[in-house]
Amino acid sequence: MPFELILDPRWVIVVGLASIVYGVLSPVVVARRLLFLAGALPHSALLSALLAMITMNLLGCPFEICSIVFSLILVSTVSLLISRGVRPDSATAIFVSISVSLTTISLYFILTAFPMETSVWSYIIGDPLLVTWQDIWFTVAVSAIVLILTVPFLREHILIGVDRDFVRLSGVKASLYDDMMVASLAIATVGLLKAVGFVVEHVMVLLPGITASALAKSGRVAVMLGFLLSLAGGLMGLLISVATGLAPSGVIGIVMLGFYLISLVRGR
Amino acid sequence: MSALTLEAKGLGVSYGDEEIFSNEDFRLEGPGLVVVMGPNGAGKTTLFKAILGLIPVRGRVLVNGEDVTGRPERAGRLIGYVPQWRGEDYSFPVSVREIVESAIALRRRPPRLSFPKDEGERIESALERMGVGDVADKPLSELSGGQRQRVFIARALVWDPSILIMDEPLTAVDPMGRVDLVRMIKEMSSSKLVMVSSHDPSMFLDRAKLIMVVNRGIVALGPPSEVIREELLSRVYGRSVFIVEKCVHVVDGYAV
Repeated sequence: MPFELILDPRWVIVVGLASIVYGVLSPVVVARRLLFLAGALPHSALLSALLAMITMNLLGCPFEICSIVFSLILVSTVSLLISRGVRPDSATAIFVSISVSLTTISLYFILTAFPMETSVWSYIIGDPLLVTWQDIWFTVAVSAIVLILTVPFLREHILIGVDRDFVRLSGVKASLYDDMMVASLAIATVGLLKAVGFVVEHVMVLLPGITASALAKSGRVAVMLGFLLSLAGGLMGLLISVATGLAPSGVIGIVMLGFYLISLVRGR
Repeated sequence: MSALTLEAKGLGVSYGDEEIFSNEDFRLEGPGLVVVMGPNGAGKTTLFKAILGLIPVRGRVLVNGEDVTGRPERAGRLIGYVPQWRGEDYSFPVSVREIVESAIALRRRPPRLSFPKDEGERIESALERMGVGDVADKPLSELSGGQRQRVFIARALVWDPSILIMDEPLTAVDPMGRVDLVRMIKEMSSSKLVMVSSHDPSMFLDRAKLIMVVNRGIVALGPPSEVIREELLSRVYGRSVFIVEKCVHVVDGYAV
């Protein structure tokens, strides 16, 4: 029987959207030197998803809304600490320590109290091949919110990373853009958790931007390159995973890493 | 009222319980060069940020008679600002042109994704004036210290402000680059009010209209002949001051 690759449109949509969202966010994360915070966000996303599962089972609250609300609250706590003068790396370290501890407690509680083992695994390792049409609509909504909050303001975000004072002197309220960025990251990491998974979210939020920065000579090119690398990596990873039967999120992560290694060899 | 004035009335700045400036009054009139000197940590950058409305202050700051206290968007329209180089990480590639374009792009209403083509001439003019037109498409990370400072000065000059504040513009600039930069700054001071801080004020002394000595407060403000005195500088710098013949040097580890 000849080799036949069967692709469900839902897989392509969810991986494509996740790649687009991270492709836009990742260069901004690098430009604004938020790598440490962005690397910690998947932890808060996983905790938010687990807390939302508990709330849904105990109180009947809608999972999607609860998870986003929890994520925003958790990430806002870090922002508040940083704005109060705590060093960003210290604030993030405290945040990761607490969220990892609470994640373990929540995970144990869920696995012992509710029959949800499969759902929990999908949040940890991610599985775009299991998404339903309801998941797709949620992903579309999350992607739309994040893209509306970031794409029109890419120039401001990047320039805040270069010289925050000058941006303020030009009449731009930098703190408002900080809030928009933090909210976008919080919503994206929790909203795309099921599609991408906790583990590979680290890769997708960081590597496209880092790779693009190593290759580009201007902010405009870095943003476009980050977007294209993320989209190409996501779709290539999906195709390879379907062809080989390997975990899609893991393959996407490996493809992204491959792009990064190529960028290292090529240099600027 | 002069068209080129920078005035502070009862200016005070504190970081927590620590008072850096308290009830300071001064009035600077341009054009001319005002050199701000003081040891590391004396509050030179804090003073500039207070004038620009970038940090909370007490008292009032008036630029050309307009109250800009705590209003960076107002101060930014009247004052060009060249920040101090603090070894920033420019690993994200932002080109020279993008930096200079930001002076115009950020003043427009959002979305600011595109850059207006009719403003291109203004950008080219600023780049050429500072001699960085040939590196306009290079990322900031590939420039020398002197070129980088010229880029930030070019950005400050895009709107041709009548007042310029330059925070340690000679930092990380090689000796030849320093000579060029100092010459440019002196030229600008013939038509603008230029406030410049430096760990090596001797390079500016021949053109300085006023010297402001800062050390957790404004210690002295006046013409060089009144301020550059061994007794006063020794009070501020301690043993870092020494006099060779009739030339005053401050050796605090920053000057070349």
